[in-house]
Amino acid sequence: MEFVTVMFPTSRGVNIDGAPRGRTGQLLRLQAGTHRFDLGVPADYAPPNQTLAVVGTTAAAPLEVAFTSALSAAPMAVVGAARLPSKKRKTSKRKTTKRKTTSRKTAKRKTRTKKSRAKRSTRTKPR
Amino acid sequence: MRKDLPTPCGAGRGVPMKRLLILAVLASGCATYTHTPRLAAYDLSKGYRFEQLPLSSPAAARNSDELFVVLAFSGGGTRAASLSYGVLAQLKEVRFHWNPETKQPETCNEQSARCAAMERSLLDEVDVISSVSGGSFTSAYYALNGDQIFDTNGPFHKSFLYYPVQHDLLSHAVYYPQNWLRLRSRVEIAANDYARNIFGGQTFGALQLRARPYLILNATDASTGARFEFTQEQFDLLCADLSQVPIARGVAASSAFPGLLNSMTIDSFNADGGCGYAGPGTKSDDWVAMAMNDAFINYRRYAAARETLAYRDEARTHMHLLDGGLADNIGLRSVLQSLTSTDRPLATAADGTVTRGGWSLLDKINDPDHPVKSIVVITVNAKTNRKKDWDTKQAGPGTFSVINRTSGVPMGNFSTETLELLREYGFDADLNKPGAPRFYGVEVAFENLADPLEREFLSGMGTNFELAPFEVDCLIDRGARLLRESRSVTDTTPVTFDDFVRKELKGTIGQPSTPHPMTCTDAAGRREIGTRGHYIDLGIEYHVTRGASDDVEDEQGVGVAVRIAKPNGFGATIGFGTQAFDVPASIGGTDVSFGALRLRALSGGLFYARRAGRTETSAGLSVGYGVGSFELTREAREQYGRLGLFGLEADATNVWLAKPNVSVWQNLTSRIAANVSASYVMARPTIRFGPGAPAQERKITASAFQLSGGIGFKIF
Repeated sequence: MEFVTVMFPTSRGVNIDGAPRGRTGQLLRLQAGTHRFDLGVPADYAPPNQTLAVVGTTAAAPLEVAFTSALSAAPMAVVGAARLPSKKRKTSKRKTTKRKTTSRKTAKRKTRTKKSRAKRSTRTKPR
Repeated sequence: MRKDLPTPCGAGRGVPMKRLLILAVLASGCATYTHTPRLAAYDLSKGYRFEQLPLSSPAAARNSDELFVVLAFSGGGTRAASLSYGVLAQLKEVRFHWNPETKQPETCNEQSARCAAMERSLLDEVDVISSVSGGSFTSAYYALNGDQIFDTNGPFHKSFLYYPVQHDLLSHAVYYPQNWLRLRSRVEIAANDYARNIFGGQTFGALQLRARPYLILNATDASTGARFEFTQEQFDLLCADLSQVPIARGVAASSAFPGLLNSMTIDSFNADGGCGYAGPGTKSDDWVAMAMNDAFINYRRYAAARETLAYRDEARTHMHLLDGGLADNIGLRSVLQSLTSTDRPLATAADGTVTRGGWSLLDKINDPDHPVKSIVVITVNAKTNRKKDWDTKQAGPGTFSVINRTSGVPMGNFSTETLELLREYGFDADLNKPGAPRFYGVEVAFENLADPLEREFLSGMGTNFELAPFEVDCLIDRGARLLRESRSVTDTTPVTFDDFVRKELKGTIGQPSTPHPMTCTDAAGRREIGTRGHYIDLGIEYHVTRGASDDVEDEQGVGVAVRIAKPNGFGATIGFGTQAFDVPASIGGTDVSFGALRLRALSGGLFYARRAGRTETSAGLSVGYGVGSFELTREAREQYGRLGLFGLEADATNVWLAKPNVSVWQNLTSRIAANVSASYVMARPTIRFGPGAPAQERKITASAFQLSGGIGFKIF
């Protein structure tokens, strides 16, 4: 079982894999694997969606999926997960580069501590 | 839209019926099956789906979403069906009060309308039953008929629990002509039998109108080995309409144990225009599309996606289903899938409204507006553990035992792993903590019985559909007791069921009014069960034939006695046999044995049979057409030789014959049966002589009484 918390400045519904499944700030339980996150309507947030591989989390250290207000320039923060390419991000070169850079920095910093745990968890998943 | 049509048997659809019929007769057993209705249009808001069950009925009002109860019934023939019935009976006696405003249990001891309105049983709270094989009879009957399952004069008791179902399956296949061309489709014979006698021909459409529990009958896809659920979500993948499928077909597929029954065929219409369903994995945010990336992250999810896509393969025009026990013999996999996954089909309308298919307890746990507060999972596991004496001998298990173990051992090991996944789930999902849902799981299994003798008796019962009433009573009563005395497997410190009911549900536990056998042991079984039924006996008989005219001589001898148990009522037989008569004659004033008349006859007949206890009595009439032959004896040739007649030849004409008969079989012990039968053969053949004979022909009255008695040994 994996754990995710979706972050946004205000409380609102969270869509996972195309359906409403909880609220921002709530500890959500998901099965390990690739999931797409968005905040539904109104689409006043960025990025429009995030497709992430959710693995190696615990209830005490869930994956934090951050969305920002579309008006804000603050980037999202992703912890403890690999990022899969998003179609939306490819459409805007300038923005993509900026986000990727920031994201990579954040990920590098945080994944160091998570890396060994994630690996261990992946290995122990039953086949 | 139920039609029994011949299967293509190597030919495609649209082959003229006459040709198919001839092919069917020649092949004597091309499979026939009931075709699956096609789904008119894919629609997640219609059909037999968890999310579409009515919520406004009185029964639905007694079922809260905050307390979510799931039952999983294992396979194991009548043993499993009876054990799960005992659990249902016990759940009915767990009474508590549920406050719909606070959405939690409440202590309510006063005699008031308010308390009466809040009172319910834990059985009322059952939301889902997932079942396999034998357990599917109990789950399907309860989902369809509710508390009527407890009516001791109802069909579930009279036509299933206490009825020798497998005797009927065999005898109906052998003695009902409409089944003769379908012997390769024995599962269809079973499905028709269950529909007629147990489920009243009801379809899954009838379940759509009922409140919970939601029924999941599990079978196994013979090609992929995947679990196959009788739910509309599964049938969507085939563009087939479950609502028109008889429930009995789901039960028969779920219990189609390989060897005894063949696979059940379900049609797929994906190659035939489909049903407007784009299919899973076609949208980028569809769970199947996501899961196809997960081979190295979560292989189980990846495999589930691949299995889902396999049903969309247009080359697969027919699915072939086997016993659900092959994929999951405790019916718990669908429950685990629901507990661990949010993967389910979705449909998003233009206004953004999402319609969900399938059922996901994980979605309910995550739901911020209506979170589930308590999840109760009760697994009824009727697994056996018969004593083996192989290890006390040099010789190992025999061939049949090895074959038996080959299927049984992997199923048992897989079940153990499945139960372990359930046990670990509560810890993995961080439940049973402040702020998290309560997760309470128990297993009802024979190994939890305190008395080793009772444990040995119950876990040593056979897997079949014919148990003695004493055995059924024991299973029901001990099933109820096992639940009362169970302890959770999902808590760090096990919580007894009694504590769970009294402290967490604030309720009481009563005893069901089912029979309460004092002791359920092998010794008690020997006393109470007596002689078991026989299905096929093989042995020897001694017969005495007395000629009814001067044309045939008396005769006696030893023969083979064969018995296939008959059904109650009328039946038909068809057979090929030889009637032999010794014909006397006076040649030149000397009486000699003239020759041997043989009538090789193909005959068919009707009978009426009654089974009462250990005795089976039948009376019938067979009519056939015999190909005659006649051979002069050496004695007759010698006598003709003395008269100067040499090289005489003779033959008999073909002739109709009739044979009324009565027969009584008595089961002396569980292994030996005795038989007495009497018959009368009537035929009027003519013996024709070749050139040089004193006469051209002789009319024979080949009629004789035959009395036989024998002994048979049960081989099945």
